[in-house]
Amino acid sequence: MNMLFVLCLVLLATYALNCMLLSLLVALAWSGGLHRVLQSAQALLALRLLPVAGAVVLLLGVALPAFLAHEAEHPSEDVGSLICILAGISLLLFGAAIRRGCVAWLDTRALLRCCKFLDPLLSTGMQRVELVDVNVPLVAVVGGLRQQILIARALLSVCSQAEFREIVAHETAHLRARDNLKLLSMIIAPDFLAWLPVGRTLTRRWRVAAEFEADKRAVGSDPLRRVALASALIRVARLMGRNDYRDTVLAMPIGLQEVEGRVHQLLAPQRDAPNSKVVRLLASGGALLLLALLPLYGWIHELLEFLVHFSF
Amino acid sequence: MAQRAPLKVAKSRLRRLAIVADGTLAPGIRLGPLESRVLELVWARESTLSVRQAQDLLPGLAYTTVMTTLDRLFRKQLLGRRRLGRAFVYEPRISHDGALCELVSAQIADLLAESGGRSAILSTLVRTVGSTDIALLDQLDALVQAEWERLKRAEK
Repeated sequence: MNMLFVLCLVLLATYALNCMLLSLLVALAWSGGLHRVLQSAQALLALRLLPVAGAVVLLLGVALPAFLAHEAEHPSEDVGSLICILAGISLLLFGAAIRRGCVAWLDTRALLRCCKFLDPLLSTGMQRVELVDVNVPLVAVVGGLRQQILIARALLSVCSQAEFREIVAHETAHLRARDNLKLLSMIIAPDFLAWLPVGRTLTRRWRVAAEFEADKRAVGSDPLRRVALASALIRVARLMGRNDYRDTVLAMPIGLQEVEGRVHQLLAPQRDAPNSKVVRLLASGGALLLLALLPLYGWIHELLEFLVHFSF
Repeated sequence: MAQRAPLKVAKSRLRRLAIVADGTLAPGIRLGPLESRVLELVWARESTLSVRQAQDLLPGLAYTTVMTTLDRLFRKQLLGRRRLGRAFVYEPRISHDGALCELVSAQIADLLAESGGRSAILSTLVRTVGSTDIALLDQLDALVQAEWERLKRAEK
């Protein structure tokens, strides 16, 4: 086979292998006790994206240089079945990721189209808010790259001015932290975690942590603003509870516990979750690993050769 | 204020929304193409509509077909019905904009529900709540009100 094609197979296979190992590592670490320790949104996001980020770093920082540095010049080379299978798995990961991305985009577009039917109207203060005439208590930042804040107009009459202002502040905090982009990255991450319960758990935990952090960023240490936001959360939760369009709408039992936790946090703020070092630890560990592997490129190349030629 | 969509465009929107949405005005309600056409006719009239009058507006359809359609819309609680002499006359129970709002809201509720488990790229203020624990929300409300009072006293 042509050497360029072999290189592509090597890259795809290495990606799949690294991703598999890192996904397994994350799953084991999570069930081994990490779920009790990690609380911050940043740490949860880092853990969720570790397999993809780690696989890419190992691919570009180790496998590719090792291959290019030590691969002899051949016009062509035979390949075994193992590398083809691994490359196929890699393509499956990317295909599934693209599919999830398309579904997310379509669902988001469908939501925006629905809201546009009943014509959005105004902006509030400095942050543009689209008020939508719907009878579900919609309060959301929608979209990945071009984000919009959508709020059901009915909330203007249900919430006080102070409460509504804090609702907008909360959604603005999501907007500024680019939380939707982070969510999108978790949705489209081409890894095995997307197919495992631990992946869904990490995403869900991140969403919860992101809500807590958006609350903090929105109201800071002002006690009146904290109380106003707490009150707004309860009002919206009551309206959501009345929404009995269909049973599946009521399929998120974590929602109410989350509101309770957030209200308590707003009324009696705790210290920040002590996980800010996790990301730095992972980054440092990764850099050290790359440095440690530098002298081993020859050996790594031998491994890759074994991978290329092995057949069952 | 939003302009009411022209009849022709609204008809197809309504049908598309109605076919996609679920459990809107009544659980599991869906509108077929003929039903949405007849519903649009009823909305377009300023007064009530009899079966005969509806048939005149829908050439090519049998009297019994139109009668059955109106009856189905009545049973789906989209039309009201009263007797006028020996015949029934029909009138809308919900306005065009009201029905559109209901259908759109249900569509949004579906998408918000799905987003919790899956996909639409959005961050909500409060995700859909589990079986409504009114007592818990009342307790939280009481805590918030107590804190309001405390802060007001502290300001004084």
